[in-house]
Amino acid sequence: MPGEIAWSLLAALAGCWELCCRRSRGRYPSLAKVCGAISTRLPGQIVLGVVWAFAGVHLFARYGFAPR
Amino acid sequence: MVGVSLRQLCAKSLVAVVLLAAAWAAAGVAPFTPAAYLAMFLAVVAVAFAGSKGLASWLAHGGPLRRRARPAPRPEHAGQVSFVPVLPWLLIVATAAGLEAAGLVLGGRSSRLPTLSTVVDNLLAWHVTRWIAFLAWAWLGIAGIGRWWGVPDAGRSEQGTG
Repeated sequence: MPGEIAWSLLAALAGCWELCCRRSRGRYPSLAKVCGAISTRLPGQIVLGVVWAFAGVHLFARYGFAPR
Repeated sequence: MVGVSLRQLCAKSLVAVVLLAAAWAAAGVAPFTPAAYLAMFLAVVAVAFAGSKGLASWLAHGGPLRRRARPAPRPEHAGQVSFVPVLPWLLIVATAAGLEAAGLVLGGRSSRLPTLSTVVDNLLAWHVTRWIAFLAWAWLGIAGIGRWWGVPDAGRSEQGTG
């Protein structure tokens, strides 16, 4: 239970910070802008693509129980 | 004119229904089965194909072998983000990595500190939530790949070769 609370707090913090970034008119970069900056070069694109594919395979093919 | 737009609307609706149904089927496959791996492989290929609208144009202009007589002009600091404003994101990622590492040390499925996968797994136990997560994941991929290999990149390569 403490672990779930910690993860939920972290997700809420990330969501709040994303909102603050979007309201700061470019002073602080949003997550999309950070990912956009990472993906301006081919190595960054490869890293983000691999992370995306890994997340999909991990969540939907290599983890968890059969859906109800 | 109206007939054409109605036909396009019908075709787009049909494609959307087929894609939603395919995502529903892919999200319903039991994990750790060959069908699950096949579904994910097909999903990655389909998302890469859907996101890369300009990929065919890029390949038609020489792909990675195309000659760049003049590099495309880039404004100074375009797309760059300085370190200090990104620091909060780095702290959030570092905290997540620390929680994940501690969860893995405790065995992954500890009741005190589960890993992110285990927490998310509770949300993915139902077919509907799994389907929504699958659609969100696919949308992220299409948006990312579409931005990297989409039409603007093809236009830039045309400028570069011209």
